[in-house]
Amino acid sequence: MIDSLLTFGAKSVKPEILEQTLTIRKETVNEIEKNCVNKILNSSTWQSLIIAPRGGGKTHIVKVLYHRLINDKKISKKSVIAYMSEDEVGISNFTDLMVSILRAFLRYNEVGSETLETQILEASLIKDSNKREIFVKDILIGFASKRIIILLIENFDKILNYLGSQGQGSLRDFIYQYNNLSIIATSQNLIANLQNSKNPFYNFFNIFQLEKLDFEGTIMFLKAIAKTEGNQKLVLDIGKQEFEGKLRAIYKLTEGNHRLLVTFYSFLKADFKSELSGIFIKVMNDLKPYYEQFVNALPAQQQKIVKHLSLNRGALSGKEIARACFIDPNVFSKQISLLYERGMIDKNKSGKDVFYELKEPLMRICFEISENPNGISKLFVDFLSTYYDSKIIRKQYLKFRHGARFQCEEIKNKYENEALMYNMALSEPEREKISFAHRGLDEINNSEELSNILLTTDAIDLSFNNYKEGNTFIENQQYKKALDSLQKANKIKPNNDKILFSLGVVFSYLKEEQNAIKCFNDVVKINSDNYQAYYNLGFIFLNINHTKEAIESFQKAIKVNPNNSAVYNGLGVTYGILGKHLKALENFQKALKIKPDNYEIFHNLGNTFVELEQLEEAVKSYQKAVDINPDNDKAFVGLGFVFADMKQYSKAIKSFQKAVEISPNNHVVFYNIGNAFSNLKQYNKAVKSFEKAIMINANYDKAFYNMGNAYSKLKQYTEAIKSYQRAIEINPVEDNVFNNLGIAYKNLKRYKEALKSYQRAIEINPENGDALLNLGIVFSNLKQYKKGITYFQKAIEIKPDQIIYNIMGITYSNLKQYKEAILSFKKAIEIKSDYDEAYDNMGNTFVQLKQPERAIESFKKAIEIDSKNDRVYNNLGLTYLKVNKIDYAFEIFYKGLEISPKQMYLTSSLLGAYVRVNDQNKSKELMNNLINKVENDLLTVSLTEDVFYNLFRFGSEAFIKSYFAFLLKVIFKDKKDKQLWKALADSLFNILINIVNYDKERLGNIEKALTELLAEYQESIIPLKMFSIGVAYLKNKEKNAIFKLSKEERKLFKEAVIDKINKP
Amino acid sequence: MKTIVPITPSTGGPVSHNNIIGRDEEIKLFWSKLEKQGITLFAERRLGKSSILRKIEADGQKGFIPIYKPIEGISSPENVATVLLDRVKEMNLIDEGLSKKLKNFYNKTTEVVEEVKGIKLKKLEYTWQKQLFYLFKKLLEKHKDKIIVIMLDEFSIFLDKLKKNEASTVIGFFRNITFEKEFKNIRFIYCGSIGIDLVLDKIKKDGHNIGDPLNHMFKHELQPFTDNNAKFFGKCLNLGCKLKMPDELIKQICNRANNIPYFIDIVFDKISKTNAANQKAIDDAFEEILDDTKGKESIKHFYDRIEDFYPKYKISVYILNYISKSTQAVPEKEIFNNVLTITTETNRIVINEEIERLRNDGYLLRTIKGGERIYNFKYSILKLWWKRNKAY
Repeated sequence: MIDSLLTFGAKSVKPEILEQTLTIRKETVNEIEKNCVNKILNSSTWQSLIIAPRGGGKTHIVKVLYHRLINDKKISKKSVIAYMSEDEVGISNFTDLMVSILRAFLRYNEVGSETLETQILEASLIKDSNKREIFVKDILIGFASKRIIILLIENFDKILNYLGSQGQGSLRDFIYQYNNLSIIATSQNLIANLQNSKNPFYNFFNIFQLEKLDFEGTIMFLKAIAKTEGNQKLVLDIGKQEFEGKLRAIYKLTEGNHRLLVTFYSFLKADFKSELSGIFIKVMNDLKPYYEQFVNALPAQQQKIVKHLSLNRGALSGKEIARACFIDPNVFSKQISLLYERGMIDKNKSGKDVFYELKEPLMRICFEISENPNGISKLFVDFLSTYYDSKIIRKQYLKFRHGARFQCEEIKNKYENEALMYNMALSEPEREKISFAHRGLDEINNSEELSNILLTTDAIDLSFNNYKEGNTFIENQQYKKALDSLQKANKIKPNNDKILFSLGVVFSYLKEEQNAIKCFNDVVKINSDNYQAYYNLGFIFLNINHTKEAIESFQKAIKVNPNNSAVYNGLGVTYGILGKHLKALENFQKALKIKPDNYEIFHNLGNTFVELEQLEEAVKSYQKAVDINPDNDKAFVGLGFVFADMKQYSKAIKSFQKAVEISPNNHVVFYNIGNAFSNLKQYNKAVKSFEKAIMINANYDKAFYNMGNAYSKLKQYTEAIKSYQRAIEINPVEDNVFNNLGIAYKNLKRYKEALKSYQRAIEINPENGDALLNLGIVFSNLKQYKKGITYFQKAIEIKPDQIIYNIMGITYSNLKQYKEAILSFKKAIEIKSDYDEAYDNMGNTFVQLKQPERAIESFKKAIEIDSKNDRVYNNLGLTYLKVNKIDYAFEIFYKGLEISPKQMYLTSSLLGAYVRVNDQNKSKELMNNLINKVENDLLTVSLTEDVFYNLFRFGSEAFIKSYFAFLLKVIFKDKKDKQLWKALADSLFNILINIVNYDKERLGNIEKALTELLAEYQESIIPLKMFSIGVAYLKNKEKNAIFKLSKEERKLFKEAVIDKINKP
Repeated sequence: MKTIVPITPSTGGPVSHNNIIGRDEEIKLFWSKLEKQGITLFAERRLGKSSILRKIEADGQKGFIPIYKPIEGISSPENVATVLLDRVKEMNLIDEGLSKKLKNFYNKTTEVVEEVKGIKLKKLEYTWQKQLFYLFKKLLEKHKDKIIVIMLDEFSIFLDKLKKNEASTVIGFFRNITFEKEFKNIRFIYCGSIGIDLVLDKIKKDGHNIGDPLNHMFKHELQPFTDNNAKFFGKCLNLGCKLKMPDELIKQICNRANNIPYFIDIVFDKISKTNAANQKAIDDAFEEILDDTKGKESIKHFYDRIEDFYPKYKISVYILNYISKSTQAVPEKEIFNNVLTITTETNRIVINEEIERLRNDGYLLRTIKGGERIYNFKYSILKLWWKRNKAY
């Protein structure tokens, strides 16, 4: 009897050991024993079948049961035990089975078995099989006498197969006839026979399915084995957490299979310093033939299936297996069922699919060893990676890897092999840790030093963990935390280039540039090939505007790694900042050669082309950038700007719009869209865009300003003012805004506010020419001409401009400083020789200077420059009238009307001319035309001013009467009489003012005509009275005539007439 | 009042005849029938046919000599003669002298024996016939005024294994024996789990005109226990398993097991392993039975039987599928309609035949309601199992 568990041969092991190592199976054994014994005690039988896969511990259990039952005094006289061989052979029928039972009695020296051999011999002489059977049966019954036969029989499925249906029937008949046979059988799987109701042993047995040991069960079992060996240390070790890795590795390999656990138990005893791989290989090689025998016995199709499952870990679906093995589904179905019946595979149903896997995990070694180029190593690597914890594997790896160089040649190979195995067992994170630590270990000079360092690999762990943690914080943008962790890592393991690099990165993010620079410099000291460190240095220097150092760093990076596009890009950016755009261009192009699909470089290239004013190229580059990365909003913005520069505003808008599709919160882009719309004179759209910009950034003063400008263009001055005011609130020191605000006020005739605004603009920027000009204009509008002129002059000082000169000239005219006016107009013309407006204004001034010939020259010049300026025609015509060149006047008026047939002042001037020549018919015709074509308000104004002048100056009494009669008819019809009375009064005052130009007769005629015509009109009384008295006072020099007026009338007379006469 | 005796569950193996309970009425009936005729005893597996026969043999009855012989393992009629002789000898029904004589006779009959001491054997064609003829004769001589009851267990399986002509001869021989005047005290009990009718049908289909070879026998389909017997059985198991289960729970088990002793036995077996004599344990035990599709719990063989033996098994399966899904008994019309919607390869006549077969085989129960035939599963446990595992 053997003192320890054997892989194969539980029968040979001491019963005590078998009992001690029952562990979780004890309950099952107890139950079987209990039931069997109880039945025997009641002279009855009990049938049981123990099912477990190969190596599952069936023999172990049966042996335990045998010993218990054989030693149970309660049943010793009531039973007899037939303990069959594990692999009974030679049973082909029921007779053979009975003979085997009898031989089993003999083997174990059952009481009374001495004569059995003779009897068996006697039976063998009987020729007739039926008789022989009866004879043997009689021997058996005779031997058992009234005792119950306990039949312990293994691989019962095979036995039943050997017996066939005939033999099975006979066995069943025997059992039912005599009811003296208790069978305790084992089988690898639930026998198909037993599940088929046609078969004799259908549902005959109490089934005990032995499950594979789970992890806890495995631990218990291994502990029990160690206990039986008296290995107390191992018993304690197995309970420790540190040991768990080994246990898990073994469990993973064996999957709780009894036999394999016993086999691998020896691993637990091995010292980890020893060559584990050697032991492992030996064990595998020993097991291989054991499994091969089962596989070799299979038909080819089944071998294929087993092989496929072996080489592919885990459960696979039936479809998958069939396909991979090129087996027809129908055939596969049958073959897989057979394999299942053989107990070689497990099946698991999941929904409609069934998944199959090898029942015995180590079956795969049959194939893995031969199929795998590394032979056994894959298995061993898997085993190792679970057997040891990661620290141990790392230590082992480092020991063998770095220790190899200290060994002699022969051992060196072994070390290298071991290192290879352990390396394969390393997890990815461990590999990372090792690369973290390698540098230091490469410098070790002897094995003793290596051993010492390996003892402190915990430091590597700690430092590495901090390093990893730091990197994670960096990824999560928690830079302060990252700094903390990395500094810890650095403290533990200073001068580690990886830690220093990460530190550098963190410092960069924290904008501690000097610290970052130091770190990266340290990195390159340790590892001068770290181009990334140089690269990072470059960018840091760039950020702090140390462009020279930036360039140096980038160049160093290029020296180490000339194939890094990012570095060329960095150089390009630096040169760009330095304004060396050609150099920048060169570098971006180099970058693109290396990485032709980098949109950022294309973008930078675009920017450079803009600087170089190669706008077409800039467009191409930006376009390329967006083609590569359609989400690159910046490139779209760049494109937009370039198109805007190229005045392709529609394209600019499209590009900007693409940019905001990507980045909807870019107020600057909306602003620029607004500007582009403004350039396209689509002011409503411009306003909308500015509004969007403002919605994003409520303090965007530029947007408010430009929105104001757009509103102004739309003549929505109130809105414009609001926008400007908003812009001012945000940025109160922008002079242009005040200037434009002033313009808006001016357009609303809010001159005071306009003045204030312009003044503010000038306060902010005294050299704002526009504001100065505008201020001058407002003063002029307010008839503060001198002030106006002051500002015009200031504006001219800043920037001499023809417009300013022109306006100044007009203002001088208003001041009756005609000479100065003429000079201004001439200055305007000097600046702009084709400035027709200046010529026109100059002409008017010459009229005032009573230099009609010069006036006529100027007007003609104006017409030469712009032959479509109808106002000039009018002015020229009137001047011709003044110099009595009536025909010329008519010609010019008609020319003017050809250009602008509806121009009313030309028509009224023409009317005046006809009135002048007392052509009543033409006058009436024209009047009628005017009435039909021209607005009534203008009708009355124009009629009274020029026409009345000509009427009173040149018209005959009859004409005056006739004309007025007609006029009255028209005016009263349209109810414009108020304007008429005012105009009448004005024209009469005009006559009085210019009374020197009228003789007495004319004056008398006028008075007479008007009195006759207007006598019935109340409104005419006072003007006529004042006219009459005026004539008397001024023409007839009747000094007291004026006192015929009332006080108010005298006051009015003074203001309207006397003062004007007396004005210099 | 019967005394409750402790019985432990026994699953499939033979029960000790002392522990065979609950069949007193049947046994009483059999003895009374055996006065005049043989018996064909049939029932599903696990209902206790073999146990009854063994109990009959063990307990005996005045005026009868019961001989129990399982013949599942017998492959030829010759062997029947041999094993019967052996059994008779074992039971000491013949003395040593007669035993030798019979042996000698058996040995001789290998030659052509026409007559042995006045016993004409000419008309018997086969050796085994002669052997059996002689054996029965001598037994009857030895045990005058006693009725010899030969109980052949798994007789239908034995017959099924034989060649059809052999089977036909065997069944004919046994029948003829019982009609011989001199063998008037020989009775046979044929016992089988596969329906003997099915086997006889096969023989007939093979062209053998055997008529109705069982028409002289009392046909008895073994039923599950009566309520009282089931409860009694449950109490005995309760005692044997030391469960102390209250009566209501025992009753519940019996009801749910349809009083089938085998299932009552299984449930107690399962409960005794958990040692919890409560509702949950009972429910769990029945769940295991109902969830069985591998035949572990014996119920699956009801399905296998149909698949193996029924000539139109698909139709039978459709019928059972349909009925299993109904909570109540199903009218015949509905069954027809349902099956005909599933397949056109049948007709009402065939469906009707299958319904009858299922009924005869103990799958279905028929009642008449409002003049209409309605059907339900005979055993609710089978219905539940069928619905859960087979119906579609």
